[in-house]
Amino acid sequence: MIRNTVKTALAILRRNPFFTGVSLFAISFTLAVLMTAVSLLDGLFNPAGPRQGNHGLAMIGYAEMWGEGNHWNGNPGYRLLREIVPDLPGVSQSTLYTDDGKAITWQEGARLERALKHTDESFWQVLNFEFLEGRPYTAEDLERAEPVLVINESTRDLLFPDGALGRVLELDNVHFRVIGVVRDVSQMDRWSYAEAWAPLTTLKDASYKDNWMGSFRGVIQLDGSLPFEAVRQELYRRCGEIEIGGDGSYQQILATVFSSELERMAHEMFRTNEPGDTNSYGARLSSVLLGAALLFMALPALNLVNLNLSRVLERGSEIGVRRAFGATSGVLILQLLVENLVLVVIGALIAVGGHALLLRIIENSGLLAYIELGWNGRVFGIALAMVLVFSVLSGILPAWRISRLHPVQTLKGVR
Amino acid sequence: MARHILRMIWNRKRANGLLLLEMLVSSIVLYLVLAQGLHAYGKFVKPLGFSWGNVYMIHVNPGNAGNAVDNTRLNEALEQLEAITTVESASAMMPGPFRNSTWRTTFGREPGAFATNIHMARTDLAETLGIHVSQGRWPGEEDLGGAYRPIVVSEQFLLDYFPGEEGRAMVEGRVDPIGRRVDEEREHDPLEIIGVVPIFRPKGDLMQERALYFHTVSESDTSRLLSSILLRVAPGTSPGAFEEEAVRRIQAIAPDWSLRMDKLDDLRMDMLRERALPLGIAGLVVVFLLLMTALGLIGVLWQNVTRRRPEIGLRRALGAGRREIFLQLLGEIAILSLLALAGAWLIVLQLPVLGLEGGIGWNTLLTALGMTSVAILLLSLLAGLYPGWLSSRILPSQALHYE
Repeated sequence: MIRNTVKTALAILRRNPFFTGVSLFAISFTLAVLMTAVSLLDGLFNPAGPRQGNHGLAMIGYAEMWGEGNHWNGNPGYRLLREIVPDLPGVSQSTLYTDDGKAITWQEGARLERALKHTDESFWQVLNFEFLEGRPYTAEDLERAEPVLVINESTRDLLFPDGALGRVLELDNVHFRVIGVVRDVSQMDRWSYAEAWAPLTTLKDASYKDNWMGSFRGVIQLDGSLPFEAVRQELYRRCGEIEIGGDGSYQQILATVFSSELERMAHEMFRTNEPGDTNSYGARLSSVLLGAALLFMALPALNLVNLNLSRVLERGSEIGVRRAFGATSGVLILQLLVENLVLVVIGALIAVGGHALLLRIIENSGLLAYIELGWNGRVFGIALAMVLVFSVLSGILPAWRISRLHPVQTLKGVR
Repeated sequence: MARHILRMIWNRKRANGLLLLEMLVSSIVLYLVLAQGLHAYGKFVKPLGFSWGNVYMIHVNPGNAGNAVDNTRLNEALEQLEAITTVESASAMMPGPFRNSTWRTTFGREPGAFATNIHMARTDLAETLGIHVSQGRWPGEEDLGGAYRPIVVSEQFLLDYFPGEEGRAMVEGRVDPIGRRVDEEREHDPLEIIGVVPIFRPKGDLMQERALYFHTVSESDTSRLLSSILLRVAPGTSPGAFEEEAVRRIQAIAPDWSLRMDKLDDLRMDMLRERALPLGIAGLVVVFLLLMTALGLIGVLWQNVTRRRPEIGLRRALGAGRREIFLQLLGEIAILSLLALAGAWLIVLQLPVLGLEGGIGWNTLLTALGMTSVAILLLSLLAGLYPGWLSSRILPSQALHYE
């Protein structure tokens, strides 16, 4: 039965190459663009690299401090994180580190900038970097403020093609000794990304220790003994107990924590201007994205509906015969939907090629450093769902219209 | 003729309805992208108000302390930089051009109060950045330290701050803005206009013009660190040795500062690229969408012609010429697209009423709508050419034998 339907569908597609071509163009273009968007978003929400496969991580990257008429928001400072993160119940380990800043180095008189993060030693335990050479720095290195450096693969290949370990790299006027080389990390993962990593204690200015707000990030690793919500509440409770001091212009401080990148970004986009907003906007961001995808599909689907509808009459006699021999409209709708699905699936296969091409273009555009995009189970699943939605969206109306044609009329060929 | 065609369209309303909807959606999508594109172009052709060639910016990050003001070392650094032979002039400001930070203030506390951007600047900034002053003058060290702080405002500032005719008159030179006091409720550090610049758009070619003023400060001022150092160098200075020399000199004075050094040229291009990219992508997607719609339209019209053979054949048999058949078909498609465009106009004209037009202004809106209309009409006529030609080839004898 299905085999026959597919065979009929293929025969019909061959009958009018122009129509088939236009339909396939529309389908493959739409799906290629959507798949590319999905790949990019997936790369953003579930980046490959050090955080991959580690589901027990929660991120603290936004804090706000407020008082009468004053409101300061941005990255949390070291002092705030030191106050609330250590010894959190339900957390096995945690790391604090700076946002990446650009540091200047010189190579044969040319200015070269490298993204540099200053981190503590547990950074290397919480995030799973892949070491190609050497080792991460340790608690002793931090204690002694040892100017040691871990660099990424590309920096090694650029600056030290004949071996990096033990070599000296000057960054922002500090002479670091390279002790490790890790695989490149995509810039899409702001939590891990840098081109060089150095111990926190080598920061030139030690005043970061006194600042509530600043340019720090924190990542905690949950051990699963407590639900995330309980950990979050404990964190907020600790924020509430902080005495800020200073000149009294700020009374309250709060750092937000999220267990998924999607929620964190949704909070960044949709949070209110009022201080102390800890709501989750994950559902809103998801529905905005879903709505955008459907809206983008609407025009191509409409185009396909029109094309399909205008072919009703071409198939009139066939449908009429089938109706006359007792096929119910349900059977006919199913057949037409399957036919449309065959068309969409062929279009999707072309789209896979277009998608791969678009991803290579994005990777080579140099817009984001070390970005690597590709297929995985999630992207495949979402793409499959999109194919089905698109196929039903564009197939249901023509199918319904055709199934309602009266056999007598269609056999006579009357509109 | 038009009435006749309208009736024919009405008779086939079910098939035409969806076609109409498709054209309507295409028109609106095209309009949105065109409006954004025109809006961006309108900004692109305006001057930035400063010259970016042969200028370097060294941005200072004074460590995590952030608030410690350190202008003695900044002055020393500027002196050291000016001592480099290729440096023609050096100055400092905050925030610097092409940086992602803005300093914004409101005059007065009540909601809806006048808001303006501020750039702190040294007295030699106008020379380093090549800022042209159209009225009054840029203050020198000798102007500072009086009862009022001299500020240099942009023309947009005059238009926004002085309501109605007065601001316009000041811009046109009929009323003198020099010496006017602004934000008069301010108790501390009152402001007085000493100069006017026509335009200043520090965030690059696609930035909307904003009200702003330069808050000029003296070398001895310690209220805030002017974190962007600007250097104008002699044309043809080779970057390599000069850049290292400049950075080393600052590092010798302030080893704890983190520095970034960029050519304004590069920063401008980066910023332009970053902001033009989404528009470019949207434009490309829309081109493909329109191509797809046009091809789909050809398909549908082609099919219509095959389906309407008996009708067309009958007309031919009753004496209609090929030309008339051709024109009838094109007329149908033209009227259909005009109907769709009427819908698009109705919808788009609601946008400003609902406050959704995104600040693009009526001129751009109407231009974009006009361009959309022409494009959609042309595109649908183009799509109708081949099916129309096909229909005019139908021979009455064949057509009447149909079935």
